[in-house]
Amino acid sequence: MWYTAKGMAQAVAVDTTRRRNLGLLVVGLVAAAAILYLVVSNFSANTVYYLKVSELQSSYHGEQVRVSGKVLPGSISRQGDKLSFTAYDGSGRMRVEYQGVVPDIFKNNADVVVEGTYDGQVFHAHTLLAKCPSKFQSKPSQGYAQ
Amino acid sequence: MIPSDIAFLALVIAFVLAVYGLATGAYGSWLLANSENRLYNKLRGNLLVRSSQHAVFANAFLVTLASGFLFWALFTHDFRIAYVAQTSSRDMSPSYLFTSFWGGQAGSLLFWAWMLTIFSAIAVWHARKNYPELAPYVGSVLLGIEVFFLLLLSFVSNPFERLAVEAVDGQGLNPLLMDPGMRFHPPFLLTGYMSFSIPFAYAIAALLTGRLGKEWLLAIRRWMLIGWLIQGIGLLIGAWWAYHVLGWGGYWGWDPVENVALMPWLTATAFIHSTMVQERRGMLKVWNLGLVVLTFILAIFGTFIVRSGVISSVHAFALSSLGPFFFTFLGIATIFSLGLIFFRLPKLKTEGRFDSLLSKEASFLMNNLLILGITFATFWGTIFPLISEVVRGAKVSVGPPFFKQVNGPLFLLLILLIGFGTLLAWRRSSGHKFIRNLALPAVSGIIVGSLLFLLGVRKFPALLSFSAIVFVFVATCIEFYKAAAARSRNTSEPFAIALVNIVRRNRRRYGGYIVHLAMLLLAVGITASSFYQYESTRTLQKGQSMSVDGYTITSNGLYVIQRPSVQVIYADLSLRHGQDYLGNIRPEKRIYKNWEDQPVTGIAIKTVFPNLDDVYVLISDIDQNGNATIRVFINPMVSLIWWGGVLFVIGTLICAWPQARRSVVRQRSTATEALVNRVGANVQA
Repeated sequence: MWYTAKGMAQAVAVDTTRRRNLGLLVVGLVAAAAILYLVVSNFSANTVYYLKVSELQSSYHGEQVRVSGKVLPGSISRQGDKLSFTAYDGSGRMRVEYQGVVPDIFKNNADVVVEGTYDGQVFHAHTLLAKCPSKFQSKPSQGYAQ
Repeated sequence: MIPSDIAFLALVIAFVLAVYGLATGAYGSWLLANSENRLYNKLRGNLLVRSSQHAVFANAFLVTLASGFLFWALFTHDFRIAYVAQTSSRDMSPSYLFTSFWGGQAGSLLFWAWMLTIFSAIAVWHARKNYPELAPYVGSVLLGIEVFFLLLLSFVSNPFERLAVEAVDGQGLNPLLMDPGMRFHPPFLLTGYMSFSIPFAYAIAALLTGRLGKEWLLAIRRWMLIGWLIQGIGLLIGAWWAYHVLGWGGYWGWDPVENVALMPWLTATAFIHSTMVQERRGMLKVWNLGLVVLTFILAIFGTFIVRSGVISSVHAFALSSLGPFFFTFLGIATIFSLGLIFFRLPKLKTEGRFDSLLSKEASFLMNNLLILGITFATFWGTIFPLISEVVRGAKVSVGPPFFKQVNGPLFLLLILLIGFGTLLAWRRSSGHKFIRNLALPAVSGIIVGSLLFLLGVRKFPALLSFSAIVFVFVATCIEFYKAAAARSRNTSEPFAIALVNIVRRNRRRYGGYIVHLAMLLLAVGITASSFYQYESTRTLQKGQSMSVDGYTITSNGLYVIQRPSVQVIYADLSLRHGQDYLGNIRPEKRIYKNWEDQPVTGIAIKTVFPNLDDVYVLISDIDQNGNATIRVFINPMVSLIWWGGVLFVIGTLICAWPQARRSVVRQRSTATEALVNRVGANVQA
């Protein structure tokens, strides 16, 4: 009697264990699917093309893009808090207009990354980042502060 | 021959010794494992392993010697050495000269290797005493990693390379980097990356020997905790530095270099939790080994990304020749470790089963899933530019909003899970008991959430986050209270002393809870400053004022201080909240003459009590008329992040501190005494 009762209890326990492992699997899969959904659904809205000045072609007109290049020496002009300069890269040239905080290390020949739209003539930047070349680390002087 | 040539020679000898030690260590271990009880093989194996361990110790000495020479060269301005000329200059003060050590590529690699040789020596010495069977393998794996880094230093990126013509003065360090953060942030991160090598070496040793029991778990866990602590401190100092120096009002920008530093820390966090399941229940063995390997791979990957420049980052890195080397090393390490795990699968069978969804094990598993989810999202967003360039031929970059939108909710769930995990018991919790335990914390969370809503906090994610934080806080405090109250009853110690004693008696558990509380502080600071940051920019003439979020800032004019190499322009501003005068703040622009008049922004931050707002003020521009454009951020509760960081260090140290074996015995005997006393009291009654 006692043995059989224990045996039955064990059989029931194994069965529920299996069911619970299944439950865990389901919870895990649901969580994994949710994470994947979060990644996929937020992805495309937050990606932009990252180009060099020489790669910026007409096909990107009007689109949000990120462009990297160097500041052409002598091209910087300021009017009030409006800044404009020419970014270059090999053969490419692009006039940039920007209003906002200018990074400390922004100067002639500095490596810069601008984000904004290009209308074929002028690049309207809403973000201006500067890199400091040849040094181990430099950080964004104007980044994403939202 | 100049002194630096000796240093270079030391590096080359260290490389040769590492190769030698790897060979003798591997062959010796093999002999020991296959000695078939032949004394001759055992003796030979022992001698070879000894010799290999001596190579580990010798390398710690040799690389320390080389590093000493680099410090010396920096301090004596030995501009015959290219690296010294690139990263330092005569006008640098000694307190910054030593930061030039890790100011460039070759030096930071040398620092990595230096720390590796020292940590390896300590690990081998420790393993020899405590895990003699694993020690030969631990030493060999560490030597294998040394071979790679010393190869780079000797033949690819030599920090002691000489210039053809001695430079008169060096280029120096960019003034932007002349900040106290620069003294600590890079060395902590480099050491952090490096320190994940030791748990990896233990894991490989366990796999090679087939000793996959519990013995090595404790060693791995402690070393992992040490790495986790160092990397965590590195991340926090990095955030602190960004906040106090860069002037964009934040502390974390989801920049590739930040992301790659966060990833191994995250997987280490996952391991620290899931290893407990293996310790208690003998489950998740493959998973845990996988996490140790993954952490190491991500740490090497991080070092590689930082050094190779393959991913454009606002951190600037010269594109270097190191890429292929790192890529090869990563490939070898990955294939080797995964192959080993696969080979040992039969020995890694699980001993237990999950009994219930309502158990600590299940909550740890969910914790791992979430952390790996965050790691995956971060990894994907970080390397996507590379993938898209290969696949589509165009570089696509992923902006910070992606990371915030994906990782934000996952971090929130992770915080909630801390609460559930704390309340759940091992194996299974009874539903009734769980709900009873859940009641007070959950109700507190809901009440505080509602109060905050009434007080005007209307952003739903922020409300959710604050409620979750309160829920976990109350759950954790109850845990402390219950244990201390029970002890106080049993031993008639005063409550405060009982509280200290329960932490002392079970450091791992309560140290862990203290780290959880630290994470809550961080979460409060991050939530508040992410959702309730205010910003305003205005050009102020003398006497004019601007207001942001109830704070008024009035300009008392611009002032100039001339120093030999730098001109400091500061704005004198008085700060008021409503009618209360809170003091003057002075943001500045420092203009460095030796750096083509490069300006450096000096941010003024004032933490306002009691509401813990950081008033964060900087000069963004000075116009021709001498009027400054002032940019103000109101960053609520950011200071809690730094206090959370301090608590994180304390909690982790409590966890990692070796628990003296004797105290375990004493703990048992006092428990027995208490029982005897109680029984005695009952009998008397």
